[in-house]
Order: sequence, then structure tokens, then C-alpha cells
Amino acid sequence: MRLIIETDPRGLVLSGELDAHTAPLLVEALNSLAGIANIRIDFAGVEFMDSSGLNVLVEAHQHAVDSDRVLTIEQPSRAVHRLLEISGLLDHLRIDQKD
Amino acid sequence: VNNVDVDVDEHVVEARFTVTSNASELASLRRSVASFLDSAGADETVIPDFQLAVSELATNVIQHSALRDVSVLIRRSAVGWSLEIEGVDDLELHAVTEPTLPPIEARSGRGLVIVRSVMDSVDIVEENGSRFIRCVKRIE
Repeated sequence: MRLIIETDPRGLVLSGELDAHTAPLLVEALNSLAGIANIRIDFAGVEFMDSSGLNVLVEAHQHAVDSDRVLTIEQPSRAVHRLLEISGLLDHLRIDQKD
Repeated sequence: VNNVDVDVDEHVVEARFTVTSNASELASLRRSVASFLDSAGADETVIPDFQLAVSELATNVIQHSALRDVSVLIRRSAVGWSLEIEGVDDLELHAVTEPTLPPIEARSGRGLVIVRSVMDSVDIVEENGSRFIRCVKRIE
């Protein structure tokens, strides 16, 4: 499975795998949301992510902060949550994890 | 993915996976490694950690080395599960010996720290004139 990106009025819904090959697709999709103040990215369907995906999220988060916007990572899968934890980014990025 | 499975002896099984040095090969490389690990008896904690480590290290080779191929050796022995890969760049090799997370806002530099986090040991090994990274996840 590759990375599938769907757009909805609240942001992006991702599924598949986020790595060095697919990360540029997320960059492109985020650039298309330049006018949205509160960007939400649903990560529930992301089965795999490595640091290439983290790097995109860190950059997007910083862009959002710099432009007084909010980027929220919604429902990260177990694999994504673990990677965020290992990388020390759980407290840096805005994450919405419903129980 | 080209791969060769070898039963070295009754305690050691290994497989070498080789792909063209292109990021488009990462997903199939991860899948091939996972399939081998599963068939060799790895449990559900080992497989995702190896997929993550393979992805990080192979990405490093693809982005920073001049090698045309990425070659990964996975081995099961009495000690545990190991991964070997050549071509990781000198800067990253330094990070192997002194792994620290970059500043929180950094947009790169997390790969080998992540690998260290999911493996029991990560070492630079020089054997027979070649240098590679060997990661080991011990069998409990």
C-alpha cells in the first residue's frame, strides 16, 4: 500500500505508509491547505511512518505556528504514536488522541 | 527486491535483500524483510522494529551514498535478530556512537536515534575491508 491522501473541509485524511518516497506527497497536500487556519491531519490509517514523515510534520507545525495557525495530528495509529514518543515530539506537536 | 535466503546451520538463518537505491523501493524492501522475519519465527514486536530500522538506514544510504543498490542482511542466530547495511554516511556513523536527538524543531537528524531506540545495540563494524552498521535485537 502506498500513501493515500484525501482532503476534506477540516484538512487531510491519510492512509498507507509515510516514508522518504511518499513524504513529498504530504508536503504538496499541506501546501494546498495554505488558507485553512486550523489544519487537522487524520493519521488513523497510517500503518507505517519513519523520520521522513516526522520531518514533514515538524516543518508543517513550525509553518503553522509562524503564521498563527494550528496543525493538529488526529488519531495517530499505534505505530505513529510510538514514533512520536521515541522522537520526543509528543509534547511538541499538537496531537488529538481520542480514547 | 532480490533476496536470497540461506540456512547457515540449524541455529542461523539469514537473508540478503537488495534493491535499487531509490526511495520508491523502500516499501517493497520493508515488506520483504517483514515477510522473511515472519517466516523465520520473529514475533510481532520484532517485525515492526526491523521495518522501521531498515527504512531509516536504507533511506540514509539512498540519500547520502553513491551506491547503486541498497543491500540489507537480516540474520537470526542464537543471540537474536540482526540487521547489517553498508553505505551509511560518515556523519550518520558519528551519530551511531553518540546518539542524541536533534533540537525539537530540527527538520532532520532523527533517523539513527530512532534506530537506536528500537534495537538493543547499534554498532559500526569493519570486516574484510568493508564498513557497515550492525543492529541487534536480542532474543529474550
